[in-house]
Amino acid sequence: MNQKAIEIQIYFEIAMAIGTSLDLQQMLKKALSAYLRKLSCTTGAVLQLREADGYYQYASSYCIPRNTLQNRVYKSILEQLPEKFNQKELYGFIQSLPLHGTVNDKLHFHIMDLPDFGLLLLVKNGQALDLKVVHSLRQLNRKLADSCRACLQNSTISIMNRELSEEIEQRKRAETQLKFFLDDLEQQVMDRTSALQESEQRYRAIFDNIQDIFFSLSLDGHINEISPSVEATLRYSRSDLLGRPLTSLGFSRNETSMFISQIKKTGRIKDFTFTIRAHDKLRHHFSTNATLTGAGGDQTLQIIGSLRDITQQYQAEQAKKKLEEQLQNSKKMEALGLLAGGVAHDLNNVLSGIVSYPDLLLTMIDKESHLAVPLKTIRDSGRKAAAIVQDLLTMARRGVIQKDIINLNRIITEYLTSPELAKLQDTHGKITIDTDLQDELLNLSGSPLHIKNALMNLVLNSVEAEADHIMITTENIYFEGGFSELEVPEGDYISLKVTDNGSGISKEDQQRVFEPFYTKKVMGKSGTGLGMSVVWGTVQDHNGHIMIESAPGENTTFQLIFPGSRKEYTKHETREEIPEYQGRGESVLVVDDCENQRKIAMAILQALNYSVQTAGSGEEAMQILQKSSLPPDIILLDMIMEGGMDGLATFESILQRFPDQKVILVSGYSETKRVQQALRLGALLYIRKPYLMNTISSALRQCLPH
Amino acid sequence: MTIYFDPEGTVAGLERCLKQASEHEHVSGLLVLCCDANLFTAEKIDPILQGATLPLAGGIFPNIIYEQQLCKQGTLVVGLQDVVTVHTVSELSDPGVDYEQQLIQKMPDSSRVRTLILFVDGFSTRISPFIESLFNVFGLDFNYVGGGAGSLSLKQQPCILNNTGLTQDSAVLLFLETESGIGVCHGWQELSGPYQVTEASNNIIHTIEWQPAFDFYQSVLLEKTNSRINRDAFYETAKDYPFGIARLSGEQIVRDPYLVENDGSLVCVGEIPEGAFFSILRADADNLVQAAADSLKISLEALPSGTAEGLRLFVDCVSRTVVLNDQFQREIDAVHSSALPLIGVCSIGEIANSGTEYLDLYNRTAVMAVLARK
Repeated sequence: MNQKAIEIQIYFEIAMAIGTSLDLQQMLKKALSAYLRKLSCTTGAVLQLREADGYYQYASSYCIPRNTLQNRVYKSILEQLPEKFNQKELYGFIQSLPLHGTVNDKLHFHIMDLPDFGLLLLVKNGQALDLKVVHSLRQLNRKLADSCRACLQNSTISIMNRELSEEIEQRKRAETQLKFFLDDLEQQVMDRTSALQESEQRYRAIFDNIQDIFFSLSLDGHINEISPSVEATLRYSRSDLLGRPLTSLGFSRNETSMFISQIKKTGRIKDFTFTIRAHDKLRHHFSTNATLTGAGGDQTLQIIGSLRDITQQYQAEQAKKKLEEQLQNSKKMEALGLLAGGVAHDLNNVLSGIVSYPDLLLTMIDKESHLAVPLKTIRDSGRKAAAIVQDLLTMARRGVIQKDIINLNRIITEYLTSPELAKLQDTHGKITIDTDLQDELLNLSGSPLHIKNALMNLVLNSVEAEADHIMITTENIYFEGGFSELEVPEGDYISLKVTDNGSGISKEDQQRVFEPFYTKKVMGKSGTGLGMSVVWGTVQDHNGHIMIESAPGENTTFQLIFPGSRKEYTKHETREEIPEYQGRGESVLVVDDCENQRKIAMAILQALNYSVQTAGSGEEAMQILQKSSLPPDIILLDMIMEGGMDGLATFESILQRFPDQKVILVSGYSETKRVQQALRLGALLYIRKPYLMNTISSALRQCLPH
Repeated sequence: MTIYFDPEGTVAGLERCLKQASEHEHVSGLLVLCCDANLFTAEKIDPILQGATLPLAGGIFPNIIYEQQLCKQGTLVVGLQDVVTVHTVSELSDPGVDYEQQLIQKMPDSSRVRTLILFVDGFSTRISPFIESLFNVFGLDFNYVGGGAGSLSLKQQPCILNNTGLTQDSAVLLFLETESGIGVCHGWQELSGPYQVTEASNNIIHTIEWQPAFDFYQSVLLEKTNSRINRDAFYETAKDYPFGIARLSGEQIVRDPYLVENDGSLVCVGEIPEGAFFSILRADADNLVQAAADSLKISLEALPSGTAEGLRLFVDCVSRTVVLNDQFQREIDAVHSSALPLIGVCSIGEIANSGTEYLDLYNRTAVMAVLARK
């Protein structure tokens, strides 16, 4: 192979070794190594031109071997270069390249230009490079210089890339950290969302199922949310209410305004009560608690609260209040009854003489005697007093009346034809009484005398209120589950209404109209002062209710409501008046601890042709009975006797020893439980003091054989 | 400088030689050259090597040379004076190792060193980068001489000796204060070329002129020499036709293809870079023998003035023994002198530099190092 071909190969291989890397050191290592190997050089160096303060100087970039510049021989070669150049000197120096020199006669050095980069130093042992070779290397050197510059640029780019990479790394780290925080945050959000969902589910379960009504309102009173319980409680459709004002829920404008202004002012409201009319028009009483929320951040202010239906509680409280009033009234009436009962007993004893003796005396004198009128006046006064006492007794004996199955229409009809009404009309002038009586009116369980008496007192009350028209109405009523004002168990009821066109009763007076002796009129003018009390007592004794509807100058209606009964009517509900009968010499034992009473009874009985014997106590009566060979035909036994045995005890003793002995009970007191017991044990009748001739005679004629 | 030779190549002989050399008063280090036929293994000789009291460096070679004799079996132990230190570089095939960095970190101050004797595992794949690193680090401060150890079986196996034992894929460096002269010649001449290596990696040529390396090589040999080379007996023919890489001056650098891969790639002792041009060489016995003589001549000329010749260390490529066969003795004779001791190895690749050229790995080359007498 010729030399030229070899050189071309060598240059080619050197060229192949140039620019194989963009790292200056790596690139020069390979390139310079190729220069040395292929050109059989011992040493090589690449020097870079650097500028500082307007001067230029060459500094080593890469040497093979690395320690070349520590070798004093090679050092001396580089020392031949000027240390610094100005631009002109540099230009001149570059123009002088390539340089060639020899050291120690053996080492030949060649300094060549690497354009726009620096210098290439090659040292060859023994024989210098041919000048032609040196010139041939120019193109390779240019390529080497280009590569060096490319490496420097790459280095700059690398530095920038490194900085950029570092920045990217930092950002990646920040991103990773951010992602970690985001993940953490997401986890927290998930946890909290889960907790919120759980809470929401719990809240929703409560919201959907609670009986109270939960709501949220805007500050202008529009409903943002309301719980489904509103449908069950107030019969409104929940979806219809959303977005609508509170007034659509039955709130009045005033209530809405007051409610919102108060909550705006105080931030919360507690136990605010008001009444709402439900969709089905029923009134419901509510208590509400509410809070103003959303005051922080961007949240919209709203009112959140709950409505609790306290209708039952309200009604219970009202009922309780009424019951308390009724209890108070009952206690008052009871106390008055007890007082009246006690007074009546003594008064009866006192009145016996006044009432009984005139009748006896009138039988003894001539009817034309001038004493007849005074005696009749004494008797009538006594009877009026006795009537008062009787009303007192009626009040006093409440709860122990004898009840039969009666019909109210019949009692009314009888009353309308009774002498009592006739007498009343005589006394008070013309009174029109109309009736509207229900056909097939239900019966009721009660005392016909007391009912009749109550009716009479109601009519009397109307009359005394200067009414000239009275309307009596009866009707059957069936109550289903409660009444608006009265607590009435479900069932059949009978209503009795007495309506008059009198002067009317004020609300205040309505509260007191049933109190004894309470009247706006002059006491004793017509009634006893106890008439309405008797009505009240009678209604109570029949488990009934009484209501007043009246106002001054308007009609007055007293409505009495009694529990109805489906039992058959008792025929002898009113006893026929028993005419006075004379006795047939039958023997009567009068047992009374009051001597005066014994004397009156003896006088009346003897006048009635009875054989009379008296005993001052139960014990004495028993002695008489035991000693007597012929027991009396009948015994009049006073129930209230002080000291020894009372009437019941005496009656029980009589029954033990003389079970067939007939006994009539007498008492100036009310029909007590002891009287009831004695009647159950077999006593034939119970009559009230004072002893009146026709009362005693009719009683005896009922009990003794005709 | 004392030389102990065990012609039997036994373990006991090695031990004895080491002991004897070590006992010499002025010996500061040991050079150990063994024949592959000794069948030394790490198990057998590591305890002995580890028991050596002096720094030692050496290798196992296909043949060793002692005096006028090519030995296929035997052990040479040379007690050297002026040994500075011995170092080992491992992982000589690992592409990830930065040998320069290792050398900078490990090596001592080289200012006293005048000669470096080094042996590498001849079948390591990164010998060239290692040698290049050596030159980069130490430059022309001292002379280099050495070569590749290994077996003619062409299989890599433990072949480097140091004080830790017998190692593989490594290099051992023996730094001496002793002056030396180095001579390098091969005597091969161009047969045909140039051709370009179009694909290569390390010491493997994949394609030549874009043809599979073996196919191209085969066709050239057939054309130029009428020789038929085949894969199974590749080296039988290839030994006579190595490659030569051109330089601007001086002999071409020889590369020895010794193995053909299944894909037709050729494996060489030493690297041929991708893109390089090469020629196919041939030689006759006279030229080769003359080259050996020239190497001696150059080495003697290179010996610094004022120093006397003390020992001749001849590193001759093992392929030259194969090529020359019976005539190889002529090479030994050409470098031998009855007045001075001659030791040597038949190496797998040679390394040499006398300060006049770039340090490189050679193949099929005769390297003579003349160590100055103390």
